[in-house]
Amino acid sequence: MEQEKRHWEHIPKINQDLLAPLLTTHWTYFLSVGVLACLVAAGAGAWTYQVQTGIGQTNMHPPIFWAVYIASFIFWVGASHSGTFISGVLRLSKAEWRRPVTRIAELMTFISLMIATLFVFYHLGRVWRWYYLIPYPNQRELWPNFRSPLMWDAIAVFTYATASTIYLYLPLIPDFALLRERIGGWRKPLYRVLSLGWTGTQNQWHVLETALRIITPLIVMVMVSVHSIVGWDFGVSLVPAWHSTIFAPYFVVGAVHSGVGLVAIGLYVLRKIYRLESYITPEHFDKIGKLLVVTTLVLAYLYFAELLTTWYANIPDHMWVVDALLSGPFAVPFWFMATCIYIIPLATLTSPAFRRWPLGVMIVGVLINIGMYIERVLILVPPLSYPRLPFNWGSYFPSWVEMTIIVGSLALAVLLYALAVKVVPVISIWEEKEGLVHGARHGK
Amino acid sequence: MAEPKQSSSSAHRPYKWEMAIDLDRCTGCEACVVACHAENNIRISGEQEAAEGRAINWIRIERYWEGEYPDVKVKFMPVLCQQCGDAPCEPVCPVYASYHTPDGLNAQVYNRCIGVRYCGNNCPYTVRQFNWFDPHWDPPLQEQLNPDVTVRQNGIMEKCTFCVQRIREKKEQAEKEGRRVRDGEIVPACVQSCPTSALVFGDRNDPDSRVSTLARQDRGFHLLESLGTQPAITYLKRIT
Amino acid sequence: MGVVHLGGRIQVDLRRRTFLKLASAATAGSLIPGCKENVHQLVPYLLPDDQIVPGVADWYASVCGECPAGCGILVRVMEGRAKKIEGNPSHPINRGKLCARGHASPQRLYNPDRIRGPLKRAGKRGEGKFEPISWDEGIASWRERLQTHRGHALMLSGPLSGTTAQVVKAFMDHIGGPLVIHDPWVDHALISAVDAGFGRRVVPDFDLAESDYVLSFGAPLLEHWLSPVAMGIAYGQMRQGRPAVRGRLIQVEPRMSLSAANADRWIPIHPGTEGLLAIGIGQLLFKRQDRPIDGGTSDAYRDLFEAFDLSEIVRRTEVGYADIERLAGEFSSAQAPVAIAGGPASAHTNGTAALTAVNVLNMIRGRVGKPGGVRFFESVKASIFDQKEAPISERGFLELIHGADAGRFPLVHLRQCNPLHTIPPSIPVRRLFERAEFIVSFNSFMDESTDLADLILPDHVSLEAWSDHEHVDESSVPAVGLAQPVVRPLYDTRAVGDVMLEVGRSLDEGVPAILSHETIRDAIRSSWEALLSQRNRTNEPDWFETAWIERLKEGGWWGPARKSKTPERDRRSPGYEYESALFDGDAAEFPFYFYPYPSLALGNGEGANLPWLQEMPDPLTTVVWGTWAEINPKTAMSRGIRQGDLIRVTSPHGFLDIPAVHFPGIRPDLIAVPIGQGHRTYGRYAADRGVNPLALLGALFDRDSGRLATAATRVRIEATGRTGSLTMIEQREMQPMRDLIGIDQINKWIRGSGKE
Ligand SMILES: Nc1nc2c(c(=O)[nH]1)N[C@H]1C(S)=C(S)[C@@H](COP(=O)(O)OP(=O)(O)OC[C@H]3O[C@@H](n4cnc5c(=O)[nH]c(N)nc54)[C@H](O)[C@@H]3O)O[C@H]1N2
Ligand SMILES: Nc1nc2c(c(=O)[nH]1)N[C@H]1C(S)=C(S)[C@@H](COP(=O)(O)OP(=O)(O)OC[C@H]3O[C@@H](n4cnc5c(=O)[nH]c(N)nc54)[C@H](O)[C@@H]3O)O[C@H]1N2
Ligand code: SF4
Ligand code: SF4
Ligand code: SF4
Ligand code: SF4
Ligand code: SF4
Ligand SMILES: [Mo]
Repeated sequence: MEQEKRHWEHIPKINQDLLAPLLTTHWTYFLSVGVLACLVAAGAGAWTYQVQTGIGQTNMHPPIFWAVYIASFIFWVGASHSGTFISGVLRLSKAEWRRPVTRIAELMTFISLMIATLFVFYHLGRVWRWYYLIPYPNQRELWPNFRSPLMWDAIAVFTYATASTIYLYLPLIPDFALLRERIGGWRKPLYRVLSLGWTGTQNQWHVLETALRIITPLIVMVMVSVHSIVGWDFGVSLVPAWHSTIFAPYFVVGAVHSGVGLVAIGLYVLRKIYRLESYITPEHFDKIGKLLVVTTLVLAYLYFAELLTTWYANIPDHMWVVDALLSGPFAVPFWFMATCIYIIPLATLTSPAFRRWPLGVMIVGVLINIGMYIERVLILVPPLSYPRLPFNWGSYFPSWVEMTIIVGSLALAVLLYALAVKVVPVISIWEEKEGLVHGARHGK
Repeated sequence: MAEPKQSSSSAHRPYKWEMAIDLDRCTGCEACVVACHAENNIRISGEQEAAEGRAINWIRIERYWEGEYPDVKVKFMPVLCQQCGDAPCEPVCPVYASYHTPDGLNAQVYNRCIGVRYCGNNCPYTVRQFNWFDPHWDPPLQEQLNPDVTVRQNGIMEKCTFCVQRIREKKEQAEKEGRRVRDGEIVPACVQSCPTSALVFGDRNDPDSRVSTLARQDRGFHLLESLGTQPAITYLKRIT
Repeated sequence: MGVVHLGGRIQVDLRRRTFLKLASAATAGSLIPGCKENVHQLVPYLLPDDQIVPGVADWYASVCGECPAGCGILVRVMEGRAKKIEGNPSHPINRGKLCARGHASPQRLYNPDRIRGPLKRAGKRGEGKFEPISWDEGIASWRERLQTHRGHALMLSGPLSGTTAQVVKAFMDHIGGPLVIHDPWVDHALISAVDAGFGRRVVPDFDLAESDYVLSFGAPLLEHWLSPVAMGIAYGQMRQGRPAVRGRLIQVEPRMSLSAANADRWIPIHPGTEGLLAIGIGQLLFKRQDRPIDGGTSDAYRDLFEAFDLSEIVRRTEVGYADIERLAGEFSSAQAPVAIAGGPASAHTNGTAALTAVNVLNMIRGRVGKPGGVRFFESVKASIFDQKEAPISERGFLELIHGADAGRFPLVHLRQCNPLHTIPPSIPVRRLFERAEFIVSFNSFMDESTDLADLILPDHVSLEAWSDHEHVDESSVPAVGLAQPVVRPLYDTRAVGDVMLEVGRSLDEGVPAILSHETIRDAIRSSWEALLSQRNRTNEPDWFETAWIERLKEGGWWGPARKSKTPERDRRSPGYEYESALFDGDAAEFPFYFYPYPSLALGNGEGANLPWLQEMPDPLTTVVWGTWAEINPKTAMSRGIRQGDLIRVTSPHGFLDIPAVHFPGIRPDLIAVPIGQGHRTYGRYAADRGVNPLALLGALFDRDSGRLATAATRVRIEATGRTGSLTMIEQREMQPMRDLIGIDQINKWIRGSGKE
């Protein structure tokens, strides 16, 4: 009884802490938004140039018809697994520590998916004909080809985007209602609409929780399917070293690996900037660290399985690629990648002390994502560089247009996140309070 | 009145266009390559694009060195679209720009193609070529362009068509005259120019056509046969 | 004028312009592949543009002008545009086939860099400044020079054939002054060897198609030998054209040419010793053949051959005794063997001697005048072929420059040749130009020689012009190709023949009959009247018109196939004498042999302004748009020269920096470089691209024929440390990523040595 009372006293503090990011803005914020905007502009410029003059502004050429754009697409779809996995799986497993993490992660999902979609458009040779991909009724009765994995992709990504938007939105409703009451100015009407007249009646709470209970398992399934399908873009082809059953599971795990790494970065940055130390504690980094150890091990296992079978079978078409990776033209990026995504995480995160060091975990998260990006490029380029008729072997390195667009898009992701922070609370306020009460009930 | 009936019924029996390439005749002279450029309005790529590995050839002469000096051997192999019976480039195209014609050809619908380039990856013979920029002809070079063949713009895939414009012309002529296309009546540009007659084109559904007789030879093989793409091109192996 | 297309619609004797009007009227409307009917006048609006094909195709028979072989062509013309060149199936030389260069000829017609009208020099000579003038002005100023320099005019001309040859010759005789024909394709060594062996100055017919064993001493039969397309046809026939027989090809040469690449066996002989090998094989053949089967004509050589010591031959040719044995064995056991020679074998100071020795092999086996052997034919008698000026050898050029009458030519003419590019500077053709007061060029492009001209009176390109081309000696079916204009001239150009006739007439009275014609077309018509009158004459008064139309449709005249005849030869000892090849450059200072060879695509450089030919990959190296130096991979590695590295090739006469290509099929002591690039001018596609290897050659000649010994100069090579611009269609050798991250180094760490 006494305890519970004490907890209630915290509630104004929670509001105050978690609303702070929306209310107060430091000049450095404007500075960084400015810088990001410039990078985005550069990227946009590069794309315009590419569309005007031709896709030839990339360095792609036969036999390398796909390169860093598709790699980035895979990477960003992967990144989007952060939110769904963390919040989804953790919600399902009712893990208490998830509360301050979910919102941060779900925002990432939402934004990553937008960026991922952009890369499809960068990649198209005739982007101005993109709508041929949409099944719209037309006089010639021409439809998209649903046998093409790319159509499966389009559908999966679309579904995933919708689902995760809803998934981000639902838990936001109570917070929007709160903001509607607390914040005036240009945002008030916005919140009035978004909060859907939430008043917090018993019934509304009931509906919300039911909705969440239904959608959470669904979103996890969609998440698994999405990256499986992206994996099948390669698995179902007959390109040597693409044509492999392992791609689907491998892609999913890889996605979670980079996704969780991304969450670690997000947690650290927001925690620093908005002084959320009391909400995001070393405990969280410890949990994230453990997760990463698991994903590292599973991923390494799958990668090994793939390499072993290919290497042992020793089919020339495939071995050209394996050799190129292990000791050929692609050896340097390959071993750097392996160090970033396998060796370093295992070497560090297996130590409990290290896991409780936020900065350390964040740095590992960064390395994992750099490594995973290179890994995506290596999945694409080397197999394409060694087609079956050796006369046509080629090699590839991205052009400045490609790099500018990639950097610009990364900047766009961060920019969107920065802006989002000014509209939604990065930590779910009501879930925090719920946790507080929950904790009280169980005498913590 | 049985006579015309027969002819008309046989006139509707489908064709199966195929090619035989005798590697024991081919000398690697590249006449076919330039002939194809002339017939099919293939862009002038220029040194820059060639250096970027983007020079477009619908047919290329692959050259393989074997052994070391002084026991060196060279093998030439003309490679063009194999017009696969079961073409890996077809199912992967999200917009049906790469599709299968009733004659069993692999057609490329330029104005449908959006440039995803999946087909290019999935063609095991690397014969698909992409237009990375708009083509350009220094005037008046464009005067020479073949009006039967579309000029391909920036952002789309292209490849050997078996000179479909020549196939259509002769087929329609034959239909008008209510007969089947005669053996040797349709000659793709490369076949037409080949000095050594290494290339032979015809209807595989006609057991007596030259291409059928050649394809039955025991020197015959298909490129990457194990992939089960059912190529429409039979290579005759070089002796020695 | 009569122009006919195979469609059969005939307009007889109209002036060209009216004809073209009619022709275009006839071809108005359009052909729609999509429709059952060929709609000729009305186009349904609802047809998308890309289904509308304006115009109906007309096919004009003519002759390819891209090389002296003169293949018969059919040109597809729509709405007055030449669209596509195809082989003329009824022409006995190329029988419907065509080579890459033939296909590219529309790019000469529609080349953006053509000279579009008469020009006169504006700046200093060679400055490249010209200003357009009218034809009247141009012709007037030329005539004026002709009058002042009557008798001192020099005509440098490319290959000449048929009536044009007669006209040009008559014209030069009339105005006084030598006609010097320069044709880089002619193998003077071959002709003088045939002369030495058989007493006839013609190129015989090597009947590869019917042979079952072709022993080739460097003959570039699959590149540009004699008649490239005819050779290709014969080769296909020789390999797979006969049910039971598959002919074999053995190629003996220091560098693996395209022909060697297709041969069953390649024998990398020591440069310049081809003749010795032939003599060695001859010895063994003589031993096997105590009783000569050719009526003893080869006996004249028996003693000469047997004077050589076989072990010495083995040492100098670097061809093992067993190999020589084998060659001799195969050559004598084959049913229809033939020995041919050319290319590098003729390109030495002992070229004629070597080729003669090879001819003797054919004599010993009695292969002269036999099917599948070396065949000679009765020449065809007709006024077209009366006067033939033989092409001049490079030594002839040198004599012309240094000789007694040097400087005797204040007036120099250029017609379809570019000696400043096709003749090495060690033969200072330039002097002829410097000494000349006035230079007139009839060329269609601003090539290196035309660039020095004072007056340019541009000729039509072959697809716009009338001409005829005889094949009366070398082919079993005597043929004369007839070339007609297939399109109206694009620009303000005039047929050089027409111009000569006009000026010739106007110079003074009493010109020879042939010069009295109105136009070159009239001249051609009358020589054809002479040609046909012996054969197609009927009683109809207008028999010739009908015959002429027929010939135009057909693309020429072909006689009946002839029996080959063994030439009468004086039975005196041929006075054969073999000498070793001499080389320019001291072996210690210049350790490598050097062999510049005509490129398959660009020939001797005339093809360099056609983008399709620049873009045509060299079959063996897959290089496009440039020059390269072929070097044995081991030699290169030992000097740390990587693929694409710029190497400096130095001869006693200068140096060139050329990107290296690792070439497995070349002797370690040889550097080979294709001819064709290295133009200073000659249009946007050719200018300032690659190098011209002829620049390194010394003035050495085949002793007997005076042919330039292109393989007789020695060189040394150094790595420059720079990488050259080398563009290959085969990309695997060019790995930017490799260089980017120094992967070769890392490989060394990993595996101890770089893995390819
Ligand atoms: N031989 C033959 N004749 C026919 C027919 C046929 O099938 N065959 N069809 C008949 C029928 S059904 C019809 S409707 C008529 C159609 O006959 P037209 O009305 O002539 O139709 P189009 O030729 O399609 O278009 C006429 C012109 O409009 C131009 N145009 C396109 N868009 C615009 C625009 O936005 N503004 C302007 N100012 N111009 C534009 C087009 O470039 C074209 O030059 O033809 C009739 N006549
Ligand atoms: N690319 C392109 N497309 C176009 C146009 C264009 O300009 N360019 N024009 C557009 C315009 S304006 C039009 S009107 C449409 C016309 O497009 P369509 O209506 O397709 O015109 P048609 O093909 O002439 O006629 C259609 C069919 O009607 C049949 N037919 C003829 N007479 C009769 C009859 O008495 N009874 C019946 N039952 N059938 C008959 C014909 O044989 C033909 O098969 O095309 C449109 N499409
Ligand atoms: S034209 Fe004939 S011989 Fe020449 S490369 Fe082509 S296929 Fe071979
Ligand atoms: S060869 Fe390649 S492009 Fe041609 S049909 Fe087969 S898969 Fe398609
Ligand atoms: S490039 Fe064109 S044809 Fe190929 S898959 Fe993409 S849309 Fe289809
Ligand atoms: S068949 Fe036609 S399109 Fe195909 S390579 Fe030959 S010429 Fe080119
Ligand atoms: S060989 Fe080639 S270039 Fe020479 S005439 Fe014949 S087609 Fe023309
Ligand atoms: Mo209409």
